[in-house]
Amino acid sequence: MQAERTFIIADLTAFAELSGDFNPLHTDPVAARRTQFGECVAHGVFVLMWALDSLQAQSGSTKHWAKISAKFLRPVKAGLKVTATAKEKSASEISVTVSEAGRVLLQCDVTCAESNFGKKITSARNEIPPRAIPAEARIETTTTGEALDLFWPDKLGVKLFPALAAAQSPDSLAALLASTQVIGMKVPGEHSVFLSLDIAFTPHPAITQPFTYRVAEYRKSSQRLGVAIAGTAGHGMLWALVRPAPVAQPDMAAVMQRVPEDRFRDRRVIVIGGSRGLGEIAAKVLAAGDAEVALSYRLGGDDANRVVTDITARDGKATAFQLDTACADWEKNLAANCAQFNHLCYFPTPPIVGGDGSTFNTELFEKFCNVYVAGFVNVAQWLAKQNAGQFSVFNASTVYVESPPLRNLEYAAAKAASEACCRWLAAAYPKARVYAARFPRLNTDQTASFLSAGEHDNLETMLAELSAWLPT
Amino acid sequence: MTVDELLQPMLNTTVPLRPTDSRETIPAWDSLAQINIVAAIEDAVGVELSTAEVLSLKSVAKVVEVARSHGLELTINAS
Repeated sequence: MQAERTFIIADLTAFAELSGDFNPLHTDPVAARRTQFGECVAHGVFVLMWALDSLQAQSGSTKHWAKISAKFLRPVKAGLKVTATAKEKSASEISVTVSEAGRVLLQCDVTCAESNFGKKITSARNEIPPRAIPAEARIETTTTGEALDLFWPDKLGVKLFPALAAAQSPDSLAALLASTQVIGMKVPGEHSVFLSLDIAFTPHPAITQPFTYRVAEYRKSSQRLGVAIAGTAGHGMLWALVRPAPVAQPDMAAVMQRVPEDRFRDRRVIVIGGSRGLGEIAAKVLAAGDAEVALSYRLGGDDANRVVTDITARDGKATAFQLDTACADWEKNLAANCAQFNHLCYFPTPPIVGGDGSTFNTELFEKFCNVYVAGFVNVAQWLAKQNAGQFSVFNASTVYVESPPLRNLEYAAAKAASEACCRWLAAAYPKARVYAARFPRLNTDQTASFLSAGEHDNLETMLAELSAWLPT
Repeated sequence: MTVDELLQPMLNTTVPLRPTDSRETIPAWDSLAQINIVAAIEDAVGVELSTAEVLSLKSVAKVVEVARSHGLELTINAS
């Protein structure tokens, strides 16, 4: 049996309403871009329940679940077309796999009950769970559980999972929904990645027991949290990764200690993509050296304002403006915000995702080129026109141009193309100063790993490159 | 248990794994895959790996070595 689906953000929001798991990783594209995945991903339990619903609809089975063991191996990103496949291991056991182009994303084993559960005494409330804000990471183990109300809002549940709603106990469905709410909203909460679940469902007893969860184990070396759940519906263990928070760059106080106060005096610099990461550090280094900075953002207005506030609070000169070089009004936006500027630092990037390492992904290459090549040349030429060819450009390239990593050929090739553009600009505008900096792997949202940080000093590296671009 | 049984689903490959295979040769061997490998070993041996062991799991040879040090023999199928 097989089923296919593409999850879109509207689907993820509907599931968030059903489950109460409003973790921004699933529902907020601006916040999700600062996670290790770079964009919104589907709730693992959503993908699991969709696969089970599709396969249950096809098989016509009405058997209740006795046990579900699932591993959420890879993220299911919004927009990705996935395939669910089921194999019968025995009369009561099914193995379910969700994959994308042969890559396994989710693995699940389902054991069905020998006989369906008896009279339905449900502890799940037939209403939408209240909307809450995810908790900060909590890792302390406890011996007593915290209570959580179970919800199975029948109307929305039937809409999203009709076959499961018809066949399974509301308590079993509510327990599955509660598992994602526990991980995404409670423990670890906001900075979490759901890794696996094992739930044994029990026939309904005569009396109901409250559903509880508690942190049973914390594995510090791999940053994993084991959460025990128990209640009328069953009991089990959930494992989640405590995801590192978005990478914070040095603040202005730290930057000003390292940058001579007049190092970039009288420079007026447009920093494209200056709301976070390398662009954020560049904006701060330039402002700390007394340059006037206009930094742009595409989505992260709050991040850009945070950077501007940090700079201006220490008497630096900075403003922020929204710019998307793929939108028709980009020239108008630039003209309105950067009329008197003649320097450009170019840092914007799409999520730096890898290819499959064996074939060249043209679509991915084009996605990078739209930003690194087309966007870069367009903005640089606009600046050339504004300043009669007397301007200065800094392009953020990468050492990966020299030795592309296995997974990042498309990224490295697009950056190499941006360097070719630098050489072209230098030839086309003899009065211009064009500089391409090959950065090593620095510590940013784009390079953040679940296990280790970058090895270089972001601030020192940026100061050296900007100084090489604008010598005294 | 064989290396392939343990690692292939996490590394999105059906090709028999060799001791020299690593993060440099297997595209899917990223930090999330590394954590899933840690979880699989810890589930099998019942103890928590040290931070040094967790960070070292970047090649098939190292996975075999760490598993063996905790009493889990992983055999290699690769011909």
